[in-house]
Amino acid sequence: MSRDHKPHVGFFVSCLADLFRPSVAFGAIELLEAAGCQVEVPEAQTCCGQPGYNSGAVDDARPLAQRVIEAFAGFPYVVAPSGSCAGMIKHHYPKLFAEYPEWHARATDLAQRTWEVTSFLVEVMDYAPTVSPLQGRKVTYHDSCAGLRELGIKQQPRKLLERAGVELAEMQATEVCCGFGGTFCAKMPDLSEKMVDDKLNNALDTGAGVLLGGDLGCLLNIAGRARRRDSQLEVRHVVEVLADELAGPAIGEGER
Amino acid sequence: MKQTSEHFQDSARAALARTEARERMDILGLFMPAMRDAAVAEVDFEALREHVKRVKDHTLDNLEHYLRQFEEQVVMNGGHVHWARDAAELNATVLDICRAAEARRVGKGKSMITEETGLTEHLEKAGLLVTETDLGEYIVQIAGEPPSHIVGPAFHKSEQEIRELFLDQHKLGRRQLEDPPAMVAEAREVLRERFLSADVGIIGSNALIAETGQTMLVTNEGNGDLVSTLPRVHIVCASIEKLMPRPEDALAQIRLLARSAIGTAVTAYTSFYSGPRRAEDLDGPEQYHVVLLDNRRTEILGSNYQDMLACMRCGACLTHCPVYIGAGGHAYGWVYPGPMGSVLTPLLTGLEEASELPNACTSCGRCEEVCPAGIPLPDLLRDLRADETRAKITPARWRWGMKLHGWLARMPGLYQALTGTAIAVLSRLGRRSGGFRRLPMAGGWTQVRDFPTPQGDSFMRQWKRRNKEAGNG
Amino acid sequence: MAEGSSGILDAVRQRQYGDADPERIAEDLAALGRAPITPLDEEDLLEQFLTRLQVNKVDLEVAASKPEAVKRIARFIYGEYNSHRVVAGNDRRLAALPWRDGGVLVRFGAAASEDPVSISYARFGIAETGSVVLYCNRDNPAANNWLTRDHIVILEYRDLVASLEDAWTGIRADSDEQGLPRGVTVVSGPSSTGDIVGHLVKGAHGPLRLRIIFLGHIPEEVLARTGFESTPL
Repeated sequence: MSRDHKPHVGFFVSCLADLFRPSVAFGAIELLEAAGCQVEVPEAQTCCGQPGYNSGAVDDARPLAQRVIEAFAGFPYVVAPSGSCAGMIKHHYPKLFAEYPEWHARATDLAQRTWEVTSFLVEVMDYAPTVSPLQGRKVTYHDSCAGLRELGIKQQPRKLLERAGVELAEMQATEVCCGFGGTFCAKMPDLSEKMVDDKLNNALDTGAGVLLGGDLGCLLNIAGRARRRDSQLEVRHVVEVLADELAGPAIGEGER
Repeated sequence: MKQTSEHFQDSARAALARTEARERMDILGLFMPAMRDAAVAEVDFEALREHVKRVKDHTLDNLEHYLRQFEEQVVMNGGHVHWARDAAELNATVLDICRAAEARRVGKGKSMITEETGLTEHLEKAGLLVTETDLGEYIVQIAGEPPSHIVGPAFHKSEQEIRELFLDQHKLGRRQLEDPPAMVAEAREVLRERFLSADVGIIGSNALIAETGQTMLVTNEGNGDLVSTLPRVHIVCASIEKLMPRPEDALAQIRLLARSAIGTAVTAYTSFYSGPRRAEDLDGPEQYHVVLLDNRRTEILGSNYQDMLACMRCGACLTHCPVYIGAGGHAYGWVYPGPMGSVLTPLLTGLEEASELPNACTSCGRCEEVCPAGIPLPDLLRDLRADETRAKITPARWRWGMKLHGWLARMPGLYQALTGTAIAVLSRLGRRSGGFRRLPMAGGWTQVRDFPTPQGDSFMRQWKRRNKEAGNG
Repeated sequence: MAEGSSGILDAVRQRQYGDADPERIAEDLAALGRAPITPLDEEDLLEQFLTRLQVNKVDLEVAASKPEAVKRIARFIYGEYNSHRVVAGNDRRLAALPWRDGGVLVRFGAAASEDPVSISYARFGIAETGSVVLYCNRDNPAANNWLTRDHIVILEYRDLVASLEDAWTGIRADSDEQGLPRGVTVVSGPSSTGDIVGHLVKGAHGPLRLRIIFLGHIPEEVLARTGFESTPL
């Protein structure tokens, strides 16, 4: 493949990776480049608008969606390291502009070009990552709701992990919500606590030392609860493992 | 029924503290979805629900036609149709029918509509002896509690609680009631007498068939059929959206309903009733009445929430919802719990009376995935949250928080400068511990979990720095 | 009051999307077609029916002839109740059975609460769901379906159909001829409840057992594959 034919990817960082976990964004870019893409990060990006959209502040979300649509115009592929951000763009942007024909067309166009990173690596690039240092450790995987149900992301991260030599110990109820739910976890902390405890207990029951997932919202929630319970479970984004970005502390861990 | 939906969180907290009940709910949340998944795998679920949805959409779009057709057919079969605009009109109509028939005893089958109108209480106040005959409804009736699940009203009660209830309420002397079969046998004996002595039988309906004027009734116990058969007067209470054009359409729905509700292809009894006993019949009621309830459904019709009228009350969204499993049915504070209740309750009782419910949702989407009517429940809940924001029911600090976020995030330069600085500070403060046990303005988060420390400088800062260095070098 | 419907129909008309043209409504409805279900092969019919009966916890006996059916019923009620008495509706097909020769005393009429056993003659059997279709009418009073402890239903092989819809084709034909019966009921097992901690118990209010006497032949291997045994008379 000549350099000119490299798929051109506009990378959507996602606000949580930007602020909490830059290694996820760097790792994703590294993987995309290793898979043969030419990656660009538009600087005029902040947030996809999900917090406002999901909590009912639709009018505050719409201008953010317009910024994203503008910032990513022209990229044949837009890739995000998050099922919920990609789901927001793919599924909810068109709904957000149902009554604005011009923007609706642009939103639909963007939706068709947008991918979550693991599904892009598997379905478009058929990428095989190098063997991970996690090989031989007991690892479990949490399926994030938006990725799973809006984008059908289930086998893609598992395929990549398998190619990287990581074997998964699947937990019970892996497809059940971890209790994050955006503002839900702050609005209804008691119910959220119950749900994240269930998730954590199911993960620990597998005997796994590491929990991976594809959405930082869930992972911050699970890791935050694990720390509060003094659990040693190591929580990381799947991209960190695939790109071998494992030098720093896991989510919520102090510096060693 | 006194509505307590605004105390959702307090009730949920109380439910979470009851360890034994909580464990039972957890089992329900594993067991019911497993049963449902296995049963649904027998059919082409997607194709079937698509078909049923199209039929239901068509019916709702032409509801006036089908309601008229249904009424005509019921009258032709020798029955009466009554229209009730609200709960009070339904209750009054039913009481009038009971009084005209000089009835003393009423046997009731399961009906969510009569839960919605509080019919039992209304009839009891008027001096009638009303017995719920569905075993679950009977248990909550003698316990003096509302149902906690639309299919299994007593799912919240333990075996021991039910045993003690029966030992206390059935005056039958010393006995063991060692297991559920013994308790069911006792209830059978006690209730048998009530069936035989009832003057009026009242029941709900899973579908009203326009073409034939039949009312479809789906049960496992057979209690609904007994109250439809033995008393002199048979009253069916149903809401107007239950219409289906043809028997075949109701049959298509059955395939999804039983599988979604209890994980079986069909229930023990699926019956279609169409009027009083015929001249040559040896049994059956002398009078047959159908009371059609509106209760704000005409407001839902033609609105953004019309899809909710396709709900077949299977309860799959309840047992698949991790919030319902945690909070329990009573926390929802009215007749309908779980995701379907969180949509329907605000629509039927007013958003102010139930503003917590649309927020009792993580948008996980499991309800929509299993809904046999294809109702986009997470979207409808999100729309209700948008209605709350517009009506300023959402607390001001959330509304202003979202406004501030939306305003700031519109300006990438300012956003990145401000968040970049804040993140850098947090990262330095929390580097060693890895997380914060408390943070200003993050009380909801840190009440139950640490706030993980950001890794270091924001990605955008690092990326720009890197690009600058690359440019310079 | 605007009309009998207290204005509800007016409100519905104003809110609904459709334009109330009956011809168009009928066309739209016809265009919706039938429910998408997998059709059953003729040879799978019996096997499917029996598989479902097993799931539905229905007891089954096969009788090659009507006299044999009566003998099997006699043996069952004598074994269970040490009695020869049953109640049955006024179905002509029931009246024509050789009861006396088989040793069964039938009271024709509606079941009372004291009757332990009732007998019905199925209008249809449905392979898809393992059900029998019974009418609630003069031929089969509704009480006979729900009041007794044991409900015995005779089903002829020729009345076994594949799907719920297939049964309804026949029900429509019957109704066109004789009028709609007060009740049409699809019975798919004994009465049961899971209302006490999800524990499935048979005999909630209706029959504790449902027994189908199948009039016809079922190959041994089909019986074996579906977990039934042929019982010699």
